Amino acid sequence: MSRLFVTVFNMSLTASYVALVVIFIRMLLKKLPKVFSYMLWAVVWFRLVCPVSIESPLSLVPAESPIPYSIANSINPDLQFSVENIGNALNHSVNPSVPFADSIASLNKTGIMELATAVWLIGIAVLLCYSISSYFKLSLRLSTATLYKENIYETDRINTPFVFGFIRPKIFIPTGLAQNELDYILKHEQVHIKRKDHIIKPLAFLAVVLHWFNPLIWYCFFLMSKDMEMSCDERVLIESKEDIRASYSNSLLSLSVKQSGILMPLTFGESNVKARIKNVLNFKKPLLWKVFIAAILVAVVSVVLMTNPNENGRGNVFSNTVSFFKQFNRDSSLAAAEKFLKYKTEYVGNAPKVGNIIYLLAFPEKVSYDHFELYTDSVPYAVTVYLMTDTQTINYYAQTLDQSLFEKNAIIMFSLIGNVDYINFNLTDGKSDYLVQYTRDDANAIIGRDVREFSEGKQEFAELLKKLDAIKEN
Amino acid sequence: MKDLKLFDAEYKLMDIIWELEPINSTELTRICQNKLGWKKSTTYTMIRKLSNRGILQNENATVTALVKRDQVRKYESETLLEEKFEGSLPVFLATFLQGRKLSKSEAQELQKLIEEATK
Repeated sequence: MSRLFVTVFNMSLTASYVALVVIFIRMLLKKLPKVFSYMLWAVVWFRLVCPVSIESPLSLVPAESPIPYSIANSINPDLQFSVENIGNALNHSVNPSVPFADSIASLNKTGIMELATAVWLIGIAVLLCYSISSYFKLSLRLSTATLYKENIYETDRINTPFVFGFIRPKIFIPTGLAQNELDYILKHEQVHIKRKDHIIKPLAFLAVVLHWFNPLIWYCFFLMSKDMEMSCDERVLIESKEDIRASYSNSLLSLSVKQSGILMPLTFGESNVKARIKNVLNFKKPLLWKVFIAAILVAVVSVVLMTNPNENGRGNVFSNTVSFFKQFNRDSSLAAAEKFLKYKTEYVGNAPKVGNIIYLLAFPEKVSYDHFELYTDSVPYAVTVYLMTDTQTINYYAQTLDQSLFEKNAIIMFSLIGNVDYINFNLTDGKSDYLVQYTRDDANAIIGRDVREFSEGKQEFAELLKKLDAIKEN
Repeated sequence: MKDLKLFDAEYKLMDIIWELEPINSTELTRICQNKLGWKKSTTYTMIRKLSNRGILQNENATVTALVKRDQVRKYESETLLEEKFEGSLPVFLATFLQGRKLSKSEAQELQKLIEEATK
């Protein structure tokens, strides 16, 4: 479950980035038909609900998954909020391509991750219960609405017209509307039904429910609803033969007075009346070339934001910043590679070097290095690293499939110690032991070639370290 | 005064009953389905609600109105007068006649009503 939450959180971050771009493009499209702004939200929705995405060299989305999955699995005891972490978080907000995973990963997760996941699930449950119960309450209130004609029903229990229902949507209108008003309202609601807005809006709301912890997504939902209504208004104006802008605005105004301000995610409720009236009054049938340009812009933005970057091509504005940070990462891994390579040895019998290598290895915070033993009498040669920890951690490693931390360290040792055949990690809490064993064949199989080749130079070893970081996430 | 306030839907149902009473309740659900677009259960719920309020009765699957159309209209006009015109009939009439001419026959009819009411 924690893993699922991390997935959704990462999707939320990517979607937020996409949403900011959409909000910006929306401003450029201000003077154009709102249907283009409305269509743009499809990309944000896709990012919010779809964990996998298509790769393309045209992508403008940051490549790194902001938070690694291992956050959900690793065990580190105490929280450290340091200036450094906050600094990283700030960097991240300025440029989403900075992986602030490192600082987050070094924060504590035991408990915190489970708690966050629980809060997230409870929030979803509360929102779903609220929407479903308000759906049924409204449906009860509408049951006595009387047939007006076709799929149109009237009732004195509502103040504002809306579309209700998914499969066979009906239009509900308050009783006592003036005839000319009614014409516009019905056209407006029929456009909603024709465009399947009555299905799109609940689907959009479901995405918001999933990402309820992200205020930007709520804001997007609000903007999307506004674009939906405005583009619907525009369609009514386009389809009408005469200029009905003035009388249409009047109808909007007269209904706005009666509306109540409750959140009704599943209905249309006439919202944003002031902005909509302005939009209606300023509306002109758009010029063809403008529509053409807007359509192309929307298509390009969709492709660029819908896809993830693939490995080889990133010919775009972000490539500079991205390569800067890649450079930065490379420098730090080169430094680490240099330290390790100082203790490279052909023989497992070289105890000082083996000891120094083990000393450089990283273990989870609750796990501390105690001592090591060498088996050098006969083949197979082995190293056993003794680690101290608590009962909880032992039980954790005994149950979980995630052994990536040990795996990573074993591969480093196989690469640097030429003739070792087995690497064992013995985890103890003083009462019971838990042993993880790796063979050289395991290590070679994981990496896909002889791991010793990587200890030939700084560049190569840095490459290995990077590969190991990637393993960690799977 | 008995509460005869009817919602739009209730009034529409009573309209059908006033016209056709006494009417078989199954027949009534069929008519409501055609005219009002109601499900069977909706019609039965409405019948039960209105019979609890003493506005109609449903005995042996036969529905009859216990309140006449006139009573409802009287109630409606009295509440309107109370709520909006401080219970004053002259104020109501004055407002009603603002910018409006009565036809001769309307005036005669009104005169007759007033004479009868003051006898």
